[in-house]
Amino acid sequence: MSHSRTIEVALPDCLEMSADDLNVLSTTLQTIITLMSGGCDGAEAHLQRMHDQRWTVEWGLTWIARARRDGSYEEATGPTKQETLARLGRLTSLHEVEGCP
Amino acid sequence: MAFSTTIRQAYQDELAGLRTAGLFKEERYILGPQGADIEVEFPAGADGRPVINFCANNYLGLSSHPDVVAAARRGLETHGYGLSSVRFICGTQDIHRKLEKRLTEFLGTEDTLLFPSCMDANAGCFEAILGEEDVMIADRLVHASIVDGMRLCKAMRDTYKHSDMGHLRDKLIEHQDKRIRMIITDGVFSMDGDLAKLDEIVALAEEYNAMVFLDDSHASGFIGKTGRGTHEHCGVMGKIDVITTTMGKGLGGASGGCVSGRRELVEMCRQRARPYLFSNTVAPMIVAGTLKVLDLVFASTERRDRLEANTNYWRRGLTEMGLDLKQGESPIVPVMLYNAKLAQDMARDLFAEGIYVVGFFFPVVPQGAARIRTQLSAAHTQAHLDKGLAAFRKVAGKYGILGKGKREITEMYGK
Repeated sequence: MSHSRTIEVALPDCLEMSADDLNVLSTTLQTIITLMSGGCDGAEAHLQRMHDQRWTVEWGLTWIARARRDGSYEEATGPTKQETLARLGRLTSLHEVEGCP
Repeated sequence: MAFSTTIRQAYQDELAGLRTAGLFKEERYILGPQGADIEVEFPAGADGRPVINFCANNYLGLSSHPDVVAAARRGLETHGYGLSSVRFICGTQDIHRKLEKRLTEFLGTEDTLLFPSCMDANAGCFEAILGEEDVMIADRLVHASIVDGMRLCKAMRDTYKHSDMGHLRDKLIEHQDKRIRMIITDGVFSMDGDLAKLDEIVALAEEYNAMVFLDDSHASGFIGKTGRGTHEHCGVMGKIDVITTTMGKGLGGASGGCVSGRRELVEMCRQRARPYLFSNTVAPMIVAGTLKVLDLVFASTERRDRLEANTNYWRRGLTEMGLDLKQGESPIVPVMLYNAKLAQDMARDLFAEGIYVVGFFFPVVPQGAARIRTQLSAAHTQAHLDKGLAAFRKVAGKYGILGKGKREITEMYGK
């Protein structure tokens, strides 16, 4: 995706925003732009290519969470932050130890 | 992309980091066939040192058995060196199907499919038989190959605390909305040598309508009255839906593995398991050797019984001298030392005494649970065991840990 055109929005000092708040704001703005673009950003071309190869494609907005420890990596998505972290917790529970051969 | 100086340096830094963390794995060269008595070149370039092997998965002592070697040699002569093909193109010989039928009979299942290794069997089978609408519920200490296989599968992944049947029950209740629930466990856990509570697992599976998957790699050939595995030991033969196991441990020690179980599940693996579909067939001489191994195992429980006697003698000897062991019934006998450096130092000193063992510590085992994992074999004689016990007494005495438990050892050496 091209980032040649970006806009900046000033956030007043009095506005207390957590990392989650900023994430929501950024994602919301990005979502609006994506919906406004109507596929002119190339998304339709990607979709068409997959359809041509008989893929059934669904998409939607979601939470994503990632966990890293040394060489291990797990990633989960979900409809809510709580559910996503719960899923990530289940995935990382398989990595209690590396294990013996 | 060129392998630039920068990229090379990045890899060198990462490897140096493994050395600094004490996680760098160094191979030790065995100068001859596998067995209880071996000659080991370590470090590389040193003269070979005769040692007694207490760290192989050679449970039945068949890795270099003359009858197995002779059978493999005959297989080489009658069926060639390799097939140059995957199974479903032109890589299936009569002996491949014969071995699958013998393994089916041995494990008490409906059908069996060979894989190049049990690592491959575990990596491929979940994806072949489960989908997005299903859930896999695994014991948290299952083998790394199962973890990898689960990660390749689109079904939901979940776990239960090690051998905690109450926690497993909770998970089965939580996942009643899924199409298929599959409980996943090792038969014998390679870290602690303990056995899965398969009878309780099967009862829960029946109560909550779940399938059971068992990796019996550290059990096939010697656990259970006739060595069929953990399912025989626990009285649940015929009730396990999928069993994976290896020919690389008790059953000859060469390589190769299998998925065995319900006919339809095995067929799904034959149609969809990628390590089966996209890697070469098991070499004919290994198939021929494993057929001989099964003949020996079917013919007599003598080796399995000797292994059990050796394990009991070894456990008793270590316990009586005051070492702290993980309790269990399998030929995996971990000597608990808790401190990583102590485990490494003792393994080094035991090697100097002619006893080949390996220290395990975090992240291979939990933090503060470092140990030396000893493994028994039917090939060990009384003299081997007595020499091993004498060496443990001497080395453990040097470090002052005889008669000491976890609290005292960690007070002396830290966690």
